[in-house]
Amino acid sequence: MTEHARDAEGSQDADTAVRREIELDAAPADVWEALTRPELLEQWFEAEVELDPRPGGTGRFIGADGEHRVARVDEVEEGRRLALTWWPDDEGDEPASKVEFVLTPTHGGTRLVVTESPLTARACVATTGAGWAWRLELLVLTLFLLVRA
Amino acid sequence: MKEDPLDRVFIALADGTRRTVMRQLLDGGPTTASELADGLPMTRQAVVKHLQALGQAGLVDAQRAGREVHYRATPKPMGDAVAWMLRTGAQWDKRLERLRRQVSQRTG
Repeated sequence: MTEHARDAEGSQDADTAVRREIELDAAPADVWEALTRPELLEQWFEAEVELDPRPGGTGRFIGADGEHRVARVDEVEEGRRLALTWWPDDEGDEPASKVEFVLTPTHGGTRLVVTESPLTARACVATTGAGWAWRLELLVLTLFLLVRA
Repeated sequence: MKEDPLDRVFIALADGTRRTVMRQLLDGGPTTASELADGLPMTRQAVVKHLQALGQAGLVDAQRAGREVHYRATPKPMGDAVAWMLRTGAQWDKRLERLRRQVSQRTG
Protein backbone atom coordinates (compact mmCIF):
# COMPACT_ATOMS: atom_id res chain seq x y z
CA MET A 1 0.00 0.00 0.00
CA THR A 2 1.38 3.37 -0.94
CA GLU A 3 0.90 6.38 1.26
CA HIS A 4 -1.09 8.09 -1.42
CA ALA A 5 -4.71 7.56 -2.17
CA ARG A 6 -4.83 5.16 -5.05
CA ASP A 7 -7.32 4.24 -7.68
CA ALA A 8 -8.74 0.94 -6.54
CA GLU A 9 -9.14 -0.82 -9.86
CA GLY A 10 -10.67 -4.23 -10.12
CA SER A 11 -12.95 -3.87 -7.15
CA GLN A 12 -16.19 -5.83 -7.23
CA ASP A 13 -18.46 -2.85 -6.73
CA ALA A 14 -16.65 -0.40 -8.96
CA ASP A 15 -19.75 0.75 -10.81
CA THR A 16 -19.18 4.38 -10.11
CA ALA A 17 -17.29 7.13 -11.82
CA VAL A 18 -14.50 7.88 -9.38
CA ARG A 19 -13.28 5.65 -6.56
CA ARG A 20 -10.43 6.15 -4.16
CA GLU A 21 -9.18 4.02 -1.31
CA ILE A 22 -6.78 5.06 1.41
CA GLU A 23 -5.32 3.42 4.51
CA LEU A 24 -5.34 5.80 7.46
CA ASP A 25 -3.23 5.55 10.55
CA ALA A 26 -6.14 6.48 12.83
CA ALA A 27 -9.03 4.70 14.53
CA PRO A 28 -12.39 4.59 12.69
CA ALA A 29 -13.92 6.84 15.37
CA ASP A 30 -11.33 9.55 14.64
CA VAL A 31 -11.82 9.23 10.89
CA TRP A 32 -15.58 9.41 11.39
CA GLU A 33 -15.17 12.66 13.29
CA ALA A 34 -13.04 14.07 10.48
CA LEU A 35 -15.83 13.18 8.03
CA THR A 36 -18.73 14.55 10.03
CA ARG A 37 -17.57 17.51 12.11
CA PRO A 38 -17.61 20.67 10.00
CA GLU A 39 -14.58 22.23 11.71
CA LEU A 40 -12.56 19.10 10.91
CA LEU A 41 -13.94 18.77 7.38
CA GLU A 42 -12.89 22.35 6.73
CA GLN A 43 -9.24 21.45 7.24
CA TRP A 44 -8.92 18.67 4.72
CA PHE A 45 -11.46 20.05 2.25
CA GLU A 46 -9.76 23.44 2.42
CA ALA A 47 -13.25 24.88 2.29
CA GLU A 48 -15.83 26.56 4.44
CA VAL A 49 -18.08 23.71 5.52
CA GLU A 50 -21.51 23.51 7.08
CA LEU A 51 -22.91 20.02 7.58
CA ASP A 52 -25.68 18.49 9.60
CA PRO A 53 -24.56 14.85 9.51
CA ARG A 54 -27.96 13.25 9.92
CA PRO A 55 -30.15 11.65 7.24
CA GLY A 56 -31.88 14.50 5.45
CA GLY A 57 -29.45 17.02 6.94
CA THR A 58 -28.11 19.70 4.66
CA GLY A 59 -24.64 21.02 4.03
CA ARG A 60 -22.62 23.59 2.18
CA PHE A 61 -19.05 23.49 0.89
CA ILE A 62 -17.46 26.75 -0.22
CA GLY A 63 -13.97 26.18 -1.56
CA ALA A 64 -11.13 28.67 -1.46
CA ASP A 65 -11.36 28.71 -5.26
CA GLY A 66 -14.97 29.93 -5.00
CA GLU A 67 -16.49 26.57 -5.87
CA HIS A 68 -19.79 26.39 -4.03
CA ARG A 69 -21.65 23.16 -3.46
CA VAL A 70 -24.86 22.37 -1.66
CA ALA A 71 -25.25 18.95 -0.09
CA ARG A 72 -27.90 16.69 1.34
CA VAL A 73 -27.07 13.79 3.64
CA ASP A 74 -28.66 10.59 2.34
CA GLU A 75 -27.46 7.83 4.65
CA VAL A 76 -25.59 7.64 7.93
CA GLU A 77 -24.30 4.51 9.61
CA GLU A 78 -22.43 5.86 12.61
CA GLY A 79 -18.73 5.15 12.30
CA ARG A 80 -19.11 3.09 9.13
CA ARG A 81 -20.78 4.79 6.24
CA LEU A 82 -21.82 8.27 5.13
CA ALA A 83 -23.55 9.01 1.85
CA LEU A 84 -24.50 12.42 0.56
CA THR A 85 -25.61 14.05 -2.65
CA TRP A 86 -24.07 17.33 -3.65
CA TRP A 87 -24.47 19.69 -6.54
CA PRO A 88 -23.14 23.09 -7.59
CA ASP A 89 -25.01 26.09 -6.26
CA ASP A 90 -24.73 27.89 -9.61
CA GLU A 91 -25.94 26.88 -13.07
CA GLY A 92 -22.66 25.32 -14.12
CA ASP A 93 -22.14 22.19 -16.19
CA GLU A 94 -21.13 20.02 -13.25
CA PRO A 95 -23.63 17.23 -12.64
CA ALA A 96 -25.07 16.47 -9.23
CA SER A 97 -23.22 13.56 -7.78
CA LYS A 98 -23.43 11.09 -4.97
CA VAL A 99 -20.49 10.86 -2.59
CA GLU A 100 -20.11 7.85 -0.36
CA PHE A 101 -17.57 7.24 2.40
CA VAL A 102 -17.12 3.70 3.73
CA LEU A 103 -14.90 3.04 6.73
CA THR A 104 -13.47 -0.36 7.58
CA PRO A 105 -11.33 -1.04 10.64
CA THR A 106 -7.91 -2.45 9.78
CA HIS A 107 -5.07 -3.79 11.88
CA GLY A 108 -3.42 -0.43 12.32
CA GLY A 109 -6.23 1.98 11.65
CA THR A 110 -8.94 2.54 9.06
CA ARG A 111 -9.46 1.86 5.40
CA LEU A 112 -11.50 4.64 3.83
CA VAL A 113 -13.15 4.17 0.45
CA VAL A 114 -14.60 7.23 -1.26
CA THR A 115 -16.76 7.01 -4.36
CA GLU A 116 -18.20 9.90 -6.29
CA SER A 117 -20.59 9.16 -9.11
CA PRO A 118 -22.59 11.49 -11.33
CA LEU A 119 -26.21 10.70 -10.59
CA THR A 120 -27.45 10.13 -14.11
CA ALA A 121 -24.53 7.91 -14.97
CA ARG A 122 -25.17 5.91 -11.82
CA ALA A 123 -28.79 5.41 -12.80
CA CYS A 124 -27.83 4.27 -16.29
CA VAL A 125 -25.12 2.01 -15.04
CA ALA A 126 -27.53 0.35 -12.64
CA THR A 127 -29.83 -0.59 -15.50
CA THR A 128 -27.19 -1.65 -18.01
CA GLY A 129 -24.81 -3.29 -15.56
CA ALA A 130 -21.98 -2.00 -17.73
CA GLY A 131 -20.37 0.45 -15.36
CA TRP A 132 -16.76 -0.50 -15.18
CA ALA A 133 -16.46 -1.64 -18.78
CA TRP A 134 -18.13 1.56 -19.89
CA ARG A 135 -15.62 3.72 -18.06
CA LEU A 136 -12.72 1.84 -19.53
CA GLU A 137 -14.17 2.15 -23.01
CA LEU A 138 -14.71 5.85 -22.51
CA LEU A 139 -11.09 6.29 -21.57
CA VAL A 140 -9.91 4.11 -24.44
CA LEU A 141 -11.97 6.17 -26.87
CA THR A 142 -10.52 9.38 -25.51
CA LEU A 143 -6.96 8.16 -25.64
CA PHE A 144 -7.59 6.95 -29.17
CA LEU A 145 -8.76 10.44 -30.10
CA LEU A 146 -5.73 12.05 -28.53
CA VAL A 147 -3.47 9.75 -30.51
CA ARG A 148 -5.26 10.58 -33.74
CA ALA A 149 -5.21 14.33 -33.16
CA MET B 1 -33.23 17.48 -11.49
CA LYS B 2 -32.22 19.45 -14.54
CA GLU B 3 -30.41 17.57 -17.27
CA ASP B 4 -27.16 19.26 -18.10
CA PRO B 5 -24.87 18.61 -21.09
CA LEU B 6 -22.63 16.28 -19.15
CA ASP B 7 -25.62 14.23 -17.99
CA ARG B 8 -26.62 13.72 -21.61
CA VAL B 9 -23.15 12.46 -22.50
CA PHE B 10 -23.20 9.97 -19.65
CA ILE B 11 -26.65 8.76 -20.69
CA ALA B 12 -25.74 8.49 -24.37
CA LEU B 13 -22.56 6.52 -23.72
CA ALA B 14 -24.09 4.23 -21.09
CA ASP B 15 -25.52 2.18 -23.96
CA GLY B 16 -23.22 -0.42 -25.54
CA THR B 17 -24.70 -0.14 -29.04
CA ARG B 18 -24.25 3.61 -29.06
CA ARG B 19 -20.63 3.18 -28.01
CA THR B 20 -20.19 0.82 -30.96
CA VAL B 21 -21.77 3.34 -33.34
CA MET B 22 -19.62 6.10 -31.87
CA ARG B 23 -16.50 4.02 -32.31
CA GLN B 24 -17.36 3.21 -35.93
CA LEU B 25 -17.82 6.88 -36.69
CA LEU B 26 -14.55 7.76 -35.00
CA ASP B 27 -12.75 4.96 -36.80
CA GLY B 28 -14.26 5.17 -40.25
CA GLY B 29 -15.07 8.85 -40.50
CA PRO B 30 -18.37 10.40 -41.63
CA THR B 31 -20.84 7.96 -43.10
CA THR B 32 -24.54 7.28 -43.63
CA ALA B 33 -26.91 5.33 -41.40
CA SER B 34 -27.25 2.67 -44.12
CA GLU B 35 -23.51 2.09 -44.29
CA LEU B 36 -23.33 1.88 -40.50
CA ALA B 37 -26.22 -0.60 -40.44
CA ASP B 38 -24.41 -2.85 -42.94
CA GLY B 39 -21.68 -3.45 -40.40
CA LEU B 40 -23.97 -3.89 -37.40
CA PRO B 41 -26.58 -6.48 -36.46
CA MET B 42 -29.47 -4.03 -36.60
CA THR B 43 -31.74 -2.19 -38.97
CA ARG B 44 -31.07 1.19 -40.48
CA GLN B 45 -33.97 2.57 -38.43
CA ALA B 46 -32.40 1.36 -35.20
CA VAL B 47 -29.08 2.94 -36.18
CA VAL B 48 -30.83 6.24 -36.89
CA LYS B 49 -32.40 6.20 -33.41
CA HIS B 50 -29.01 5.69 -31.81
CA LEU B 51 -27.48 8.42 -33.98
CA GLN B 52 -30.23 10.78 -32.82
CA ALA B 53 -29.52 9.97 -29.18
CA LEU B 54 -25.82 10.63 -29.76
CA GLY B 55 -26.77 13.82 -31.58
CA GLN B 56 -28.79 15.05 -28.60
CA ALA B 57 -25.70 14.63 -26.44
CA GLY B 58 -23.70 16.66 -28.97
CA LEU B 59 -21.57 13.64 -29.87
CA VAL B 60 -22.70 13.36 -33.50
CA ASP B 61 -23.82 15.87 -36.08
CA ALA B 62 -25.78 15.24 -39.25
CA GLN B 63 -25.18 16.92 -42.60
CA ARG B 64 -27.42 16.53 -45.58
CA ALA B 65 -25.58 15.86 -48.86
CA GLY B 66 -28.13 15.60 -51.64
CA ARG B 67 -30.44 12.72 -50.76
CA GLU B 68 -28.10 11.34 -48.16
CA VAL B 69 -27.44 12.31 -44.56
CA HIS B 70 -23.85 12.01 -43.45
CA TYR B 71 -23.17 11.51 -39.76
CA ARG B 72 -19.95 12.71 -38.22
CA ALA B 73 -18.51 12.16 -34.74
CA THR B 74 -18.12 15.35 -32.69
CA PRO B 75 -16.41 13.91 -29.64
CA LYS B 76 -15.66 17.04 -27.64
CA PRO B 77 -18.46 16.45 -25.07
CA MET B 78 -17.04 12.99 -24.47
CA GLY B 79 -13.84 14.68 -23.48
CA ASP B 80 -15.86 16.76 -21.02
CA ALA B 81 -17.13 13.58 -19.35
CA VAL B 82 -13.63 12.18 -19.04
CA ALA B 83 -12.43 15.57 -17.83
CA TRP B 84 -15.06 15.42 -15.05
CA MET B 85 -13.72 12.06 -13.95
CA LEU B 86 -10.11 13.20 -14.03
CA ARG B 87 -10.87 16.46 -12.22
CA THR B 88 -13.02 14.76 -9.58
CA GLY B 89 -10.37 12.10 -9.05
CA ALA B 90 -7.64 14.70 -8.67
CA GLN B 91 -9.71 16.59 -6.10
CA TRP B 92 -10.16 13.45 -4.00
CA ASP B 93 -6.45 12.65 -4.25
CA LYS B 94 -5.63 16.04 -2.76
CA ARG B 95 -8.35 15.94 -0.10
CA LEU B 96 -7.48 12.43 1.03
CA GLU B 97 -3.79 13.24 1.23
CA ARG B 98 -4.67 16.18 3.51
CA LEU B 99 -7.03 13.96 5.52
CA ARG B 100 -4.25 11.41 5.95
CA ARG B 101 -1.93 14.05 7.37
CA GLN B 102 -4.71 15.49 9.50
CA VAL B 103 -5.78 12.26 11.23
CA SER B 104 -2.18 11.10 11.66
CA GLN B 105 -1.47 14.31 13.55
CA ARG B 106 -4.52 13.82 15.71
CA THR B 107 -3.48 10.36 16.84
CA GLY B 108 0.27 10.91 16.71
